[in-house]
Amino acid sequence: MSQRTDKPQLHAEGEPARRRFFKEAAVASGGAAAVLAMPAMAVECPKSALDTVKETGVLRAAVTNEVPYFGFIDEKGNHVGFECDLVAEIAKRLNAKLNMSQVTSATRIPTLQQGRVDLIASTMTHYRSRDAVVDFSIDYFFSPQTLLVKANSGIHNVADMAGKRAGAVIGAGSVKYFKEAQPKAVLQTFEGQGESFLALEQGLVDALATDATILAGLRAGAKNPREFVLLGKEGTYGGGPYGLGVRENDSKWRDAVNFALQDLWVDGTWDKLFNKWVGPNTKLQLTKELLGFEMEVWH
Amino acid sequence: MSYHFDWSVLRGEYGLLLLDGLVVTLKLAGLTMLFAFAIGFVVGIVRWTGNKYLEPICGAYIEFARNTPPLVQILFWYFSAIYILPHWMFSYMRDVGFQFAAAVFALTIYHAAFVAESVRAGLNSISSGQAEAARSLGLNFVERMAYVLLPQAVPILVPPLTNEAVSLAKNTSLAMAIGVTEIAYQTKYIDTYTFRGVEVLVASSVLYFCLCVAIEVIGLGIHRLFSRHLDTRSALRTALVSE
Repeated sequence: MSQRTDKPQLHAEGEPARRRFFKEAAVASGGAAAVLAMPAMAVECPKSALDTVKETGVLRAAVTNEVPYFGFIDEKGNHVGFECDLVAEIAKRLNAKLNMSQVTSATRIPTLQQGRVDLIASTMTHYRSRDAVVDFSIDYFFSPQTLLVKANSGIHNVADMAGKRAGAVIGAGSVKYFKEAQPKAVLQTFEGQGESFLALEQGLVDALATDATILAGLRAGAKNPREFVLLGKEGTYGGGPYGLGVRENDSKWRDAVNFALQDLWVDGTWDKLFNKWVGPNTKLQLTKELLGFEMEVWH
Repeated sequence: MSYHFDWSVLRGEYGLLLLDGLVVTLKLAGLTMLFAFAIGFVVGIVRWTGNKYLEPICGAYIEFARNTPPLVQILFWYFSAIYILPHWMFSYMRDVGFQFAAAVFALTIYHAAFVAESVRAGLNSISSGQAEAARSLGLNFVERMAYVLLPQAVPILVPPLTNEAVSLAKNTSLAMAIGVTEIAYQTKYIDTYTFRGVEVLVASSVLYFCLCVAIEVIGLGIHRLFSRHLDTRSALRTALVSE
């Protein structure tokens, strides 16, 4: 009786079992590779975010929920802060409704790249190494990097930190700059701001080194804020401008965001927001003199 | 929207940082494994003997260590050192930095409890006639353990202890919370400067994967080594299981 040949056969008859196995493995892995490559084959979307915002009438923006008074969850459970108000002002100037979501430092970049939002406000400082991945707007804020110490510590400036221990959060800009400014200090890093502040309270570190805005927020959250001193200009060793994040290669959208930022600086809205969240009469008690920030305005 | 992988971030400075992290992870995992196995064997044997005074203490320790998350334990031991240690010792350790020591301590406490339970289960699996026969031959406790019980228990113990070692190697990543510069720490550090988190995560996953596979291979080697002298019945059983 002849063998049935009408059935499609993957393997030539008499093929050694081992070779058959490799063949099957090759087919299977080829399939797996195709699945893995799928996202890369997705059609590139050349449409500017500005067009999307105009068409839908909605600005999808994501703001950090990790930085007190910039983007954080207040006692009532609301997501508020300087940056929340800032993106609301930008939405107003684009005649769009604001659709705001929350991000953390771990989720912000994928959220923007995958097109789930068109704008990120997350106290991001622009480095060249970061600019390869996303684009940044012009600066909308500048925070000096300084030190938070205990009131009785006897530390008044960066030189006093020789031989002492400073704490910071992994990846804060100060990790690089403080080491350069005071090579004789030991820098220890923590995963979150909360842990680093606990370490300062317990004396595990003598000072915290990061943005003045963050340090002021930590001090404001302490049980007794007067136990801690934020060093002013003498404790400053660097600083970081903040820029809004937009997707790479969308200059039309970046222009629109930049112009909205400049408009709200010129008409005094920026000052209003500063006085509401950051200024001398807020919990942060920071002054414009300490920050020394002026937004660039194109005429 | 597509994601464009750019592996060039791993060349040069950042790739070296990741390798620095690997060295710290190896040190952390190696030391913790050493201590956890030593303490785990002692505690497990004590629990197995059912000593009236020591058994409840060991039992309480195991329940405490097993039923709290390892991250909480790491933070707890690091931030409570100031209350536990004498002042001179705390200020000395503070000055030299003890985040690595705290991580080794916390992970040892956590994993020794699991090792102890495996050891107890392994000893329980030896028929009680073995211990009784050894005792009737006049062997004391140490001799019974060394010549009769452990040689039979250890081959049984190798697979679950290999499991424990793999889980320990992965849990070292929690030490980044208190600033131990191991692989997971370096991953986050590189991500914040380059925003190339996906690439770095893939690379660090590969490192952890290789580390864990290496531990499994070593465990298999030890298992074979100890199984050489097994009697034909257990050799047959082992062969059947591995088929």
